[in-house]
Amino acid sequence: MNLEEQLMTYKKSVQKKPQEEKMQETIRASKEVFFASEQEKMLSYHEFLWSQFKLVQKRWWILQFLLLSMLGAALVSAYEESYIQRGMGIMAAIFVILIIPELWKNRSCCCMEIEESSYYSLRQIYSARMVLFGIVDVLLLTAFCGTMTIGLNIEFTRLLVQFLLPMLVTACICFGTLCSKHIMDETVAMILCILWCGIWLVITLDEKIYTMITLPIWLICIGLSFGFLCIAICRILNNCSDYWEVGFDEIRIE
Amino acid sequence: MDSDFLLIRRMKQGEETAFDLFVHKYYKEVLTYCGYHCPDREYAEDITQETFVRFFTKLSNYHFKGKTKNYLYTIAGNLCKDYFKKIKEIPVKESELSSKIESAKRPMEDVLNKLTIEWALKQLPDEIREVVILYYFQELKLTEIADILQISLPLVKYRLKQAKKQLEKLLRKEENYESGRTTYDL
Repeated sequence: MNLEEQLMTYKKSVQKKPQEEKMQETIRASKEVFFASEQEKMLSYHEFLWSQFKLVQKRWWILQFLLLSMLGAALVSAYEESYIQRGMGIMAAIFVILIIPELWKNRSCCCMEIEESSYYSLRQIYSARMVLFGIVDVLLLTAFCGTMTIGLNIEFTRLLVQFLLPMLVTACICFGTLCSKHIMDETVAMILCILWCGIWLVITLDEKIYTMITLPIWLICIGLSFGFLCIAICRILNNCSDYWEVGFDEIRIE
Repeated sequence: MDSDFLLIRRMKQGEETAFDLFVHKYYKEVLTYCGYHCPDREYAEDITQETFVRFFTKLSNYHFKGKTKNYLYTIAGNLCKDYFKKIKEIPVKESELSSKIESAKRPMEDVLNKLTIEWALKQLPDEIREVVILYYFQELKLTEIADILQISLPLVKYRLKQAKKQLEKLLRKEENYESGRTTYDL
């Protein structure tokens, strides 16, 4: 017998068959130690949100604030100008577009896989980020709408139609593209938003079309767009773990 | 995509079935590896369990890079080194007893081969013996051994070459001794 053969015979003679009982004991001990160590490290919801808040770039919120301030100033200076009021839709679209870079950064930086392998899932990260943007944007918009309706006596329904509706539609476009398996680029989302702005301008600036649409129709549009937005957000949260930069389920981010 | 990557992700998220799958996947390999270092089965099982426990203690900080199996081997290797430090204080006969009882049931030739190889392996320096175990018994690639032992690939090749040389020399010596003894007995 040569050396290799001797070693192989030795290998066979010392093979150890694992005992199921011992394996179960190991599994139990492993789980115990893992959950015990996790309990020491677990962040509360507030701490997790705070940690995500620190990671979000604040400049987008500053830009959103500046945008609303500019819009407010424009409305004050042209109080009676109904066309300027109708043009609020453009600002509303830009307001939402400012969210895009922050929500897209996982996909544009190709770090979805890295984040997915971390302790907190992408679903949790995206949820936290959306909650943070939601809180800040609701605060900004409440302040803006409050100031406009109380300070400038602009009817709330007009704000709803001319500002919140285009904003909701833009948000639908953004979130719809974000959860899409086919459209990967944030530029595509921006182009779609700009196209929407064009359509919105045509609707609002054309007196004939604008007067044709009555308030109930606007309200239905708002309801529909809000419903679609909710569906898009749910889809993002459910599917965000399926997008990989390496081939997986035939989905690929380039 | 590596299945370990998904398994680790599931374990990090606390999915209990993933723990079962993971332990079942690697238990045998780690146990066999520990078995080469510790002839006592119970010790080998204890070290295997400790290997998994150490792995799971630091799981949340573990970032998937390379093969998880290699990481387990590194932990097991370190634990075996600790075991060797302890075992040096225990008389040799005591630790060998269990393996000798176990081997009593095997055919004579196998037993002789086993004892000869065990003796020859014990004569090798620790670092060379480790390479032999990983290469011949665990059937790992040279690059994986380099990764586990955290040494360069040329050094793994060198150690393996040295191991072959020394083992052949030792086995030849043992063979000559045995044949000489047989002639003398006759």
